[in-house]
Amino acid sequence: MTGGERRSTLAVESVTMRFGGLRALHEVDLQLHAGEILGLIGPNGSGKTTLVNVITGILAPTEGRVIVNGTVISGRPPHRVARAGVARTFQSVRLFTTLSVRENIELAAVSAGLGRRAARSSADDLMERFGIRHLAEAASGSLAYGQERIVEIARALATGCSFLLLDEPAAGLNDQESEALLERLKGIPDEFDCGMLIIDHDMDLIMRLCHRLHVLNQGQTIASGTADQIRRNPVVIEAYLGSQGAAEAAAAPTTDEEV
Amino acid sequence: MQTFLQFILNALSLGSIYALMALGLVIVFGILRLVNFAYGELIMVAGYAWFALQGPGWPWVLLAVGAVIAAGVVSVLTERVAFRPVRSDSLNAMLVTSFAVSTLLQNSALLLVSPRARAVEVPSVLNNSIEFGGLRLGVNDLVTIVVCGAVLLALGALLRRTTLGIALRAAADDFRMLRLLGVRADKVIATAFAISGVLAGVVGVLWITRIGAVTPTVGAAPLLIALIAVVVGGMNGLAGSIVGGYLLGTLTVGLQLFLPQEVLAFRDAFIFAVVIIVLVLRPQGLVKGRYSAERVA
Repeated sequence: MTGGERRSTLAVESVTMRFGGLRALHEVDLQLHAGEILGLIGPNGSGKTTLVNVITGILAPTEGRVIVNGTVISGRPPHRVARAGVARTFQSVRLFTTLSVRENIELAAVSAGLGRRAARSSADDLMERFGIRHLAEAASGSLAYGQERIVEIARALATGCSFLLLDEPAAGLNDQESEALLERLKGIPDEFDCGMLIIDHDMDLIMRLCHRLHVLNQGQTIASGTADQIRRNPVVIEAYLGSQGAAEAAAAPTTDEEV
Repeated sequence: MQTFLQFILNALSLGSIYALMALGLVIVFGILRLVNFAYGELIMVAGYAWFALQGPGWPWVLLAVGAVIAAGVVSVLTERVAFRPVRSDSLNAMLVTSFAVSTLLQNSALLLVSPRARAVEVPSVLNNSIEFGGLRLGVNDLVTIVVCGAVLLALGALLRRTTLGIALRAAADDFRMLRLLGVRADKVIATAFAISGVLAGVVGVLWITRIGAVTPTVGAAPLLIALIAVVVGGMNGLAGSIVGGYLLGTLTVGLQLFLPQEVLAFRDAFIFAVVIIVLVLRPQGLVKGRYSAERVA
C-alpha cells in the first residue's frame, strides 16, 4: 500500500523448526521482495507449509527469525504478524462460511484498520477486480471451489498486505480454472504492490508464474534461482524423482508428487 | 380458545426469557467452546444491583439499566481476570475456572449481603393486567415479550450490520483465521463476554421482578434452563438456542396448564423426559449449527 522508495522485504533468517525429535525446517534462509513472485517448491513433507506457518506466526521458530522491513515478526502472535503486512491463504480454503462473500472481504479490510465505509468500498473494488462482484451477497459456504479460492485471495489482499503467501492456490482446480488463476495471479504484485510467495505442485504453473524459485527438501534449502536454473539443477531433479529417474527426466521434469 | 390464547401469551413470555438466557450462554460458547458456569451468577449480580439501587426511589427504568450494566461489567471483568489467563490452557482449565468464578461470586453475595433472600421492589405496574377482549394480559408478560423481542432484534442487527458483529460471527466460525486477518482475539472475546453479560442482565431484571426477591443462588435455575435450552436447540449456532428457549418455555407453560392437578408437582420430570426424548432422537440438537468443532486458545 505504501509506495516508499525502499522496496519492502520479508526475510527468513536461518529458521529451524523442530517438533520434538522431528526437524521440519533446518536453517532456511529466504528473501521475498515487493513486486516479485517467489515459488516455494519441494516434495511432500519438505517443510513448505511449515515455513509459511512460521512466517505467519502460527508457529514460533525453534531458532532463527523472520523479519519484515527490519522488524522481527517471528514469535509475535498471528494478528500482529498480519498487521505487519503478511497475509496468506490455505491449502484447504478457510473462508468464514457463515458470512457472505462481501462480509469476508470487508472484515479483512476492517481488521487492517479501515473504517466501515472505506472497508466497504475496498471490498467492492476487490470484488470488481476479481470478477466476483455478482457473488457479493452469496453465502461463502455455497460457492464453487474455484470461486472460494478467488474469494480467499481477495480477502487476503483486503488486509492491505505487503506480502501474500498462497498455499497451493491451484490445488483442486481444473486446467481451465488453473489457467485463469495464473493470469489473475500474474498481475497481483504490481497491482497491489506486494511480494507474493506461492506453494504449488503444478510445476507448469509455477515455472510460468514465478520470477524465482526456492526448493526445499527434508526441511533444507537445496536450490534457489530462476525457473531455468532450477529446471536444470540435478539436485532438484533427484529430490523430486529419485536418482534413477534423474537422468532421463533432466530435460523436462514433470512431477506428480501430490497426493 | 381463551385458554389457548392465554397459553400462547404465557409461552411466548417465558419462552423469550429462556431464549435470551440461552443466547447469553451460547454467544461465549460459540467462540471459546466454554460453557460458562458463572453465567447464572451474572443474573444474580443484576438482581443485587437492582436491590442496591432501589433505595432512593429512582425510576425503575434506571434500576433496570443499572442492573444490566452491572451484569455486563462483571462479565467482562471475569473474562479479564479469570478466563483470559487460562485461555491457552486446556478447555478443562477454563471449565474449572468458570466453576470457581461461580462459587466466588455466590460467596461474595453471601458474605457482602446475606444468605437470606432480599426482596426487590417490583414496579407495581408489572403486577397489573389488562383486560382485552375477555383476555387477561399480564403487564409483566407483555413487557417481557416486548423487551426480549427488542433485545433479539438489536442483537440480530448488531451481528449483521456492525463490523464487530461480523467479527463475532467470523470468530464463531474460525477464530484462528480471524486472528490471521489481524484481529485481536482479546477484543473479540471481551465483546462476546460483554454481550453475554448484558443478556444475563436483561434476563436478571425480568427474572427477579418475576419472583420478587434475590438470593445468592438465584442464578442456578436460569443457568440450568439455559443449558437445557441450548442442548435441546443445538449448541452450534444462535438460532438453536432461540428455538430451544421458546420450546422449553412453551413446554413448561403447556404442562403447567394442561397437566392434571395430581401430577403437577412432577412437571419438571415431564419436561426432562421430553428433553431426553429429543436428545435420543436428535443428539446434535434440533437446529443443526454451522460452527466448527475446533476450539481456539
